[in-house]
This record gives sequence, structure tokens and C-alpha cells, in this order.
Amino acid sequence: MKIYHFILAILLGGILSSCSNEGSVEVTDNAVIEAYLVAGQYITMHVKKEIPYSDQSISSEEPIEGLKITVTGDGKTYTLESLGNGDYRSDTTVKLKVGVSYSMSFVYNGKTVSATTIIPSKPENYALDQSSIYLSQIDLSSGGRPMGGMGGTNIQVTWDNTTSDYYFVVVDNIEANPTPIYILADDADSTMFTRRFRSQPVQGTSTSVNPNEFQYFGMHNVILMHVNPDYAALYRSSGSTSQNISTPPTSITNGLGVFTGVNADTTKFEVKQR
Amino acid sequence: MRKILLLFALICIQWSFQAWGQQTPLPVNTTGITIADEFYNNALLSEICQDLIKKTGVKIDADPTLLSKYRISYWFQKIKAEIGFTNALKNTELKIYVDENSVLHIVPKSQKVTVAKAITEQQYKGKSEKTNFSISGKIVDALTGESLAFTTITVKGRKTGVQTNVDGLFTIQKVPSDTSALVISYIGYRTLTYYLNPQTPTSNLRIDLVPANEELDEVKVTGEKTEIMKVNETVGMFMMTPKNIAKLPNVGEKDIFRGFQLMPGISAANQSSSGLYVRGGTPDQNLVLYDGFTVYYVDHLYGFFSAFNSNAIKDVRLFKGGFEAKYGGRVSSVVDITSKDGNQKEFNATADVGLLSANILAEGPITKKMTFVVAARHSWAGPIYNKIFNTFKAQQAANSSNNAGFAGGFARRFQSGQTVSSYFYDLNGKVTYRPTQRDNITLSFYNGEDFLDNSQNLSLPFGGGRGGGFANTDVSNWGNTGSSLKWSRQWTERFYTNTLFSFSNYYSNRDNTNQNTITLTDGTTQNVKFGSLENNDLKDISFKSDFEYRLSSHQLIEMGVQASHLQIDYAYSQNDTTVILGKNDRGNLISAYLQDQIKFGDSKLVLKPSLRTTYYDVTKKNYLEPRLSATFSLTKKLMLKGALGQYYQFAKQVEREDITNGSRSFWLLANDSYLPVTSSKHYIIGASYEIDDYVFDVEAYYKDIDNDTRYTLRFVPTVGRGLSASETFFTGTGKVRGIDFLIQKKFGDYTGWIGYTLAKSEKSIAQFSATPFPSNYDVRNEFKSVNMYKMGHWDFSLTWIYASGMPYTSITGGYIIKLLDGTEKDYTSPSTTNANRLPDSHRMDVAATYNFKHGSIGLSIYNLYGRQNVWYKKFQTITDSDTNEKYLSVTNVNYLGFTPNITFTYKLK
Repeated sequence: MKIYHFILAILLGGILSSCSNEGSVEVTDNAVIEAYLVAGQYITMHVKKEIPYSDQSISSEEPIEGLKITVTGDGKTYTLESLGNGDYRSDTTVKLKVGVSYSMSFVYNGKTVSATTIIPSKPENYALDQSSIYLSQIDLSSGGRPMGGMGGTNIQVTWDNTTSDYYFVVVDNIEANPTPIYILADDADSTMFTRRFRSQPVQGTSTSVNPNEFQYFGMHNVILMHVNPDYAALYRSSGSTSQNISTPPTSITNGLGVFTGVNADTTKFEVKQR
Repeated sequence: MRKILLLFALICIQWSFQAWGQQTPLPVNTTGITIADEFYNNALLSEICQDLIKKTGVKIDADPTLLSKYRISYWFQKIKAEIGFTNALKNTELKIYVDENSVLHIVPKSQKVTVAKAITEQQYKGKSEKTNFSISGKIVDALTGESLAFTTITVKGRKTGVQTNVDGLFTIQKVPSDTSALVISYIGYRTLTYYLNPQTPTSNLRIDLVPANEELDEVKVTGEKTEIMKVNETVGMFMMTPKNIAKLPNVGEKDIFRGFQLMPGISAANQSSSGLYVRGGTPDQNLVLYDGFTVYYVDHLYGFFSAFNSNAIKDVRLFKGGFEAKYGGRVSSVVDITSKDGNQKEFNATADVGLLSANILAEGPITKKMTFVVAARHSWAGPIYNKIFNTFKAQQAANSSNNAGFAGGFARRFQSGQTVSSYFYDLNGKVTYRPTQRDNITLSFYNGEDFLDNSQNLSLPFGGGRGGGFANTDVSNWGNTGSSLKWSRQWTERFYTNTLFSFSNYYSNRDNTNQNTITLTDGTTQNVKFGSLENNDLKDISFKSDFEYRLSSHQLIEMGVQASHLQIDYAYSQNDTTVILGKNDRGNLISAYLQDQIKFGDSKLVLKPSLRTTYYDVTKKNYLEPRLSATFSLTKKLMLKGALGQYYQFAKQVEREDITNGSRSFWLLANDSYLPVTSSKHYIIGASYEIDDYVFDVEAYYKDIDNDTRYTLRFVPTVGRGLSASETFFTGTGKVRGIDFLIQKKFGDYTGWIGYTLAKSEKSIAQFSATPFPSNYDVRNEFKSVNMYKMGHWDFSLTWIYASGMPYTSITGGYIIKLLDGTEKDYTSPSTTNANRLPDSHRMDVAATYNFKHGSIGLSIYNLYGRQNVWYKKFQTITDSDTNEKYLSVTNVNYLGFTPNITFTYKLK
């Protein structure tokens, strides 16, 4: 009895499994834009194709060449010049202005791709509460992980923000050949050290930099970025599985990516070796 | 002494005939003697017998030389002689039985005995004195005295009978004569035929049922049957007892919800979840009642297990649809869980330990009228716990945002600073007080929590001494606390009331943030958090009163009122300051129902019309829910059945597109704008055919769902500045149609069933797709084979599950954006919602349990042949290191593979 039951189960399973399919995926061809408009600078833009996904073939990222891109703003129209490899640039004499609304558009695959942004104001009353710190070099070459003992307090970064705009900080080591804080064993991968790190966009008036984040000694630029909400949204959206598809909201019509104005102020900060 | 000699003579006669036959179940015959208080410490059994004969007048028959071989320590305290002796002799090679003359016999266990049947065990030969009368009483477990709810009692020869209520009480009317017989059946117990006689009491009759799976059966009982699972009695209903679930294969925990997943109509396709996806419904559309209070949280360990400790549960009923008006507030199904009252006869304790958790239960009488049960379960970081935890952790990492602020990437590369701790626990307690035969007062309490910590602390590897510190917190905890106070009373044979006051609280918090401590120039410190915080808190305070009035033997009227106050708070905020979504919902529900059960033509046709009405003060509207179910016995073996009804849901969980990007789900209260009250209509038609040991059951169903809501951030038109609800909540309709088949072998050493479901579940939400799309849990074919075999002390089981692929939303493409900080980030574009199918899944699980006197050892293997069933797809952009080209890579992430588990159970008694 039991064995027949079991055979029946297997057979029935086999019949059922033969009548299902995985379904297909529609093909897309979207333009992906990368453009950050900075006050006082000319316009640069990178345009590429979205990497199409299909079960059957593997595709790679491809730039889009030969587009006729125009940007209008402040009563003027700028035509961007194609530099190849998907890069476009306005005349280098162009200087973008704060508070001006800039609109971009081009035609791709018969559809008009367009977006509008405003360059935010330069951060005001931007200050760090210290201009340098002393850190000790840490020798990890013999392995192990030292526990504590390096001292230093968080560096507080403050600015004015009456309109709840988004701000974040990028810290960038500007030495030509900086000395790493951590001495690793010879065979260790030193590329794990980065010269640059950032904070999360916030709508407040302060953030702080933890000295533990520094990976090199020397002079650093501490850049306070004033960004638009669509840029902040890029940090929020993530996920890369079928349970969590991520598409960040974008201000681009008929396209993907980012076309946004940014402004920034920079101050120096030194990490001195004790 | 003379007495002993006389009895000795008797035993010789007894020895002389050895026959195969039935031994009466212990409780049927009684000595009628209760021993008040006698303590024996290491005394000779023969002396104990002599002493008790002298003191209590109990009649004992035994071989004195046999008795003098044993020394016993036992305290007879307010206990019936036969029960006391049964307990006292537990660890010996002796057993007892009581014959029809109330003589207690002590014999070796190996001895087969035949005794004349008790008076209730055979047809009464005399004349009947009463006709057409009613009997009321209570059905209890013979060993523990636990009352048995939903037991079926039928007058022998009749097709339909009555069921005991939650307190085990029953009234059966129009018993033809006092020489008729009652047939009492309950899953997991031996079916008992109880013969009436003119002396049988017609009220407060107590009938003991003997559990079926007592491994100590020395005497094989034939003719009495035990069911593993009960179907076909009510339309769309299943009933199970945890005792049976223990025999099925498990992954670390015996789980009632996973047991139900083996039934047709309840999907087992989502293997990582113990959630009940009933006929295309989602778990939140399923009303879960635990001792009368609503449980909003039913998950442990990312949903892999249900939150219910099966050791503390007496029985569970699941209504797949078409349920009666007594239940309301959900549009799909009902799970009604009743916990144990506790052993009324003696203190007992049970402990379980497996590779995942440890579980302990204690129960017993507090006073003569009061009993208690307390059960506690705590996970431990055993191999299975870690395996499941790590699987889910990887899923969370793949799915959730990279919220690390400063040096997030760097932190990830130095993962040694990560401290992971996580656990779950639950606690069940119940006190039952029976001041009179008619009253039953219970206080039930449940508390359970999951705590998951994926935090990283950077100050560990890189010197915490540098003031402040960088900490990435990722802590989730969620749990439920609930309690109910119930008073039920059987006022008369016809009238019964049940009044309940309950409280239920569900909370879910997720803190996925980086915290920086800032020391301001004036010396004060300030904590700044980056990342996301999500909190959901739900409180439900309810009052319920149910009335049952048995109008005649053909008609049972039930009515009731219910009032609930619900408060739900939900907050999803980012970076301390930005509240993306914040809701503080308050609502009151006042409901009343009336239902009637009418039997026609000797119970051939049973009709159950019912009506529920609810006033919801948020929408200020009345919601009417008419329902009807019917069964019609075409022949003795063939029954047709059908049900239809209207259902509304006021508190709902919103389906998120980014399932794991926050807590798994959140509860909100419906309103009259963007989150409308969900409604559903059920239509069910079916038939069941029963021959000997087999049941064939088929039910076709159609379910129409209106105002189904999904939540997504995908269509937000303007970025930032908070979100308006109408831009993130999208409402549409759903349709589910399907057919469930079941072939069950109910009795014998080999039992089991085959279940098959063919179903289609689709949704229409305009924003997601112009045409209807498959719902997240749309599984076309699902086949289940459940096999159980009992061989002596062993129980073997094998289950095989096949399910066609679940839908998923794929991507049409991916792209990379270079951010202002120089890093690159991957993004994907979704394809048509649920347009794709994962491959079909199948899995075989096996288990073997060895039962011994004080417990059992179970070995269980999940996914025996290590089938790689796809859970979800992972999309990544990969840069080819040689060509520097960027391309998309798609990988399958699979469910658990081959996973063995071992469980050890020990019972004190």
C-alpha cells in the first residue's frame, strides 16, 4: 500500500512539474544619466545604457554616443559637445549659477529624456570645531587587532540650515603619497584603505566625523555638500534581490540616473602623527 | 489474612484462562474508593495492600508472593484507588485493572487479561425507562482530567451529533432511549462507545477518553479507531492536536503552523516561512486566536517558526474559508488555538531539547478546583538555530540598504567587530478555576519575543579610546504579549455563556542606524543617529460575550457581542529627523452576531445561516456580513457541502514591495481614504465521501477580495520632503480560485494523506500593472503526501511536497551611478510585477521517533535529498577585472538544504 502511495506521489509530481515555465522578461533600453551641476562650473554629463537583463545572454554596460543634448537655464541654451565614451560637456566658459533652474533634454530611442534641477546655495556658517588631531600609527603587521588607546574626540561639523535641506560631508585625503595610519603585514591588501569617506545625508545642522574613520595621515579636505532630495534618495534606495527591487525615485523623465545640482564648501583638516 | 487467601484462590482461577480480548480502559470500572491520605515509604507492596484493605475497604486481588517482591514509595493523597495504584506501579513490571465487581487486580504486565465488560461497555440488557430525553456532561482526558473541546458525540446509528464546547461540555438532546449508546470520538483518542443504562446520570455525566498513542499499550485494542486529523465535519475546517504534529518531520521545532502547511489549500511553497497562506490569502488575513485573544504576531526567527509552543496547546482548529459569523475581522481564514488547562490529577513536567531550543512545561492541580500550566521555550545557539539565522542574515544583508555612514565600506571589510546575538523565547501560562461543575474561569497569558542583533561596533578593532565611537546598530526585536480572562457557565442544559476580556499587544522595532556621539563646544554631548528606525506598536483591548441556546435537538442558536479598542502606531524615520511615514491610528469596533444551526430530516440537511454586523468608528459605517454554510448527506457515506459569506477586515498588514527593507510587515488601521476596509466574498462548494478507513474530500472555492493594499516607494513623484500616503499606498482587487483534493487514510498502523491544490491567485492594482498580475503567493499546483507508520515503539513519517514556482518580480536591467563621494552604487529597474516564475520546488522530509515510557527520541531530516529550491534571485553588477566591463550577474539563493535534527523529550510521569 505504502509503496504504491509513494509511487503515485512521485508520478503525479512529475506530471505537474512538466507544466510550468519560468516566464520571460521584457527588454528595455533606457538611458542612464550622471550629471552633477555645480555652481561656478561648466556642465558635464555622462550618458550610458541601462544594462539589460535577460536569462539567456550577458550584457555589459555601454555608453551612449552622438546625442544632441541641450541644457537651458537663466534664459540661455547650452548645447553639449560629445567627448566620446558617453561623456558630454558644455563650453568650458559656462559658469552655472546658484538658485537657477536648469533643464536638460535630448531624444533617445524616439523618446524625449528630460530633467530639471536647481543648484542649491553654498553652505553657510560651515565650521569644524577643531582643525587637526594627533593620531598614533598602529602596527598591525604582526597580526591581531589592537584594542583602543588612540585618543581624540569626534570632529563636529556644523552649518546653518533653516529650510531642512539635505547636507552631507565627504572627507578626502589630499596628500600625494599619504602615510597610512595602520601598518599592515606585507602580504595584506592595502587597497582596503580609502582616502575618502562620507557621512549620510541629513536634514539637520550638524554631523560629526569620528577620528577612527581616518585611514591616512596628512591634510584632508572636509567638503560639506548641499544636495537636492533626489540625490539624498540615491543613498536610501538599495537592495538587489527579487524580494527587494530598488529603483530610486528620479527627477528624470523617460530615463534613469541623476541630474542634480550640488553646492559645497570646503575646509582643511590635518591628521598629525603623534 | 483470610481475605488475601480467598483472593489468592481467585487469582489461580484467573491464571487458568488466558484469552485474547479487550481490556477495559482503566476509567470505565472503578473501585469506588478514594484514598484520603496514606504515605508509604519503601514498603512491601503486600503490606501496602493489606493496610489499604483494612483502612479503606478496597478489594484487592493479587498473588501475595508476587506482591512481596516489590517495595514501593508512594503517597496516596485524595486519589481514587485504581489511579493511585496505576501511578504507584508505574516503574514496576506490574499493572492493575478493576473488574466489574470493583475488585482491583494486580498482575504482571505481561499477562493478558479478560474481564467482563463494564456496564457502560456493553448493551444494557434490561428494559428502558426513559425515552426522548437529553443528557449533558463533560468529556475529559482519562489520564490528566483535561477537558476535551470539540469532541464529537453521536447517538449510535445517527449520522450527525453534537460537539463539546471549549470547556468540554456537551448537551445531547432527543436521545431515543436510556439503553442507547453514545459514540464519542476525538482526534488522537480512542473512539469510545458508551452504553447508557437507566442509572446513567442525565446531567454532569463525565466520560473519560483514553489517548490513542500511549506507547505502553500492553493490550492491543481492536475496533477502536483514532484519527490523526479531522476534516469534513465543517466546511473548510481542519483540526489537529499537537500530539500528532510531533510525529511529523520538523526543522528543529514541532510547529503547528508547519503542520497545517501539509494540508491542501495551505501553501507550503514559501519554505522559509511558517506563515499560513490559506487559499491565496496572506498570513495577516488569517485571524489567530489564542485562548480567545487575537495574536497579531505569529513568527519566530524571521518567520521560520510560529510563535506557538505546541507543548502548551490542547487543540487547534483552522477554518480555510466560509467560516461562521462568530469569527470576524479577517477576510481569509481563522486559526483558533486552545491551550491546555493542566493536569487535574497530579503534577507533571515535560522537557524537550532539540538542536534549536529547549522547552519545559509544568502542569498540575493547585487545589481541587484549580489547575495550572506553565510552559517556557528559549532558543539556544545550536547548529540549526545558527544555520537558519545565518541564512536569513545573508538575505537581510543582500536586501537591506547600506546605511553605514562614515566608512561603512571599511567597516564591512573589518567584520570582526561585528557582535551578533539573537534569540527568541516564549512563555505560556494558564490557570483554570472551576468553582462549580457549571463554571469555568481561566486566566491565560502569553508572551514571546525575538531579538536579533546584527550590529557592528567599529571602536573594537580600531581603538575605542578615541572618544565617542562609531557604532552601526542593526537591532530588531518584535514580540507579542497577550492575556485573556474568561468565564464560561453552563446555566442550564440548554443555555451556555462565555465571557472574555482580553488584551493583546504586538510590537516590532527595527533600529538600523549608525550612532555618533558628538561633544559640543559647551561640553554637552549629543547623539546623532543615521539610518532608519522603524517602530510598529499595536494594542487591542477587547471584550466578548457569546451565548449559546439549544432551542431543540434540531436547532442551536448562538449569538454574541464584541467590542474592541485598537490603537496602532507606526513610525518609519530616517536619520533621526525625517519621519517618512508616521501614523497613530485609533479605532473602535463594535460587533454583534447571530447564528443558527438547523437540522432537517434526521440531520440529513444541516443549515447554518449567520449574520455579523460591525460598527467601525473610523469610517463611521456599519458593515453587514451575512454568511451561510450547509451540509447535505446524500447517503450515509457521501456528503455535499457548501458555504458562502461576506468578510471585512479593519486592521490590516500592508504588503510591502521592499519586503526586507525594514521590518517584515506593519499593521495599520483602515480608514476611509487611502487605506480602505478590505472586504472579501467566499464561495465554497464540495463533497466528502467516507468509506471504512478512508475519506475523500474535495472543495472548490472562489474568493473575491476588494480593497487590497500594497505599499511601495516606487511611484513617489516628488523626491524627499516626506511622503504623502496616497503616493505610497495603492489599492486594488484580488481574485482567488482553486480546488483542494484530499484522500486520507484515517485509521490503522499506516495513516496519512495526499493533498492536491490547483489554484490561481491574482491581483489588479492599476499602478503596478494594467492587467491583473499573479499575487506574491500564487502557486498553481501544490501536491503533498504525508505518510505515517506506527511500528511498536516507533513512529515513522515521510512527507513529500511539490509546488510549482512562485512568482517574482525580476529586473529589466541594472545601472551604476557614480556618487559625489566617488563611490559607485548599483540600482535595478523592476520588470512587470510578478511576471516571472521561480523554478518548481519539491522536498522530502523524514522522521523517526522512538517512544519510551518517559518520553521519546526523535530524529528528523529536512530536505532529505538536498533539493536546491530557489528562495529568491540576487542581482549584482560585476566589473570584469580584465576588460573593466560592467555586467549584471544573477544568482539564485536557495532555501535550506539537507538539515537533520534530533529532539529528546522527557516526561516526569
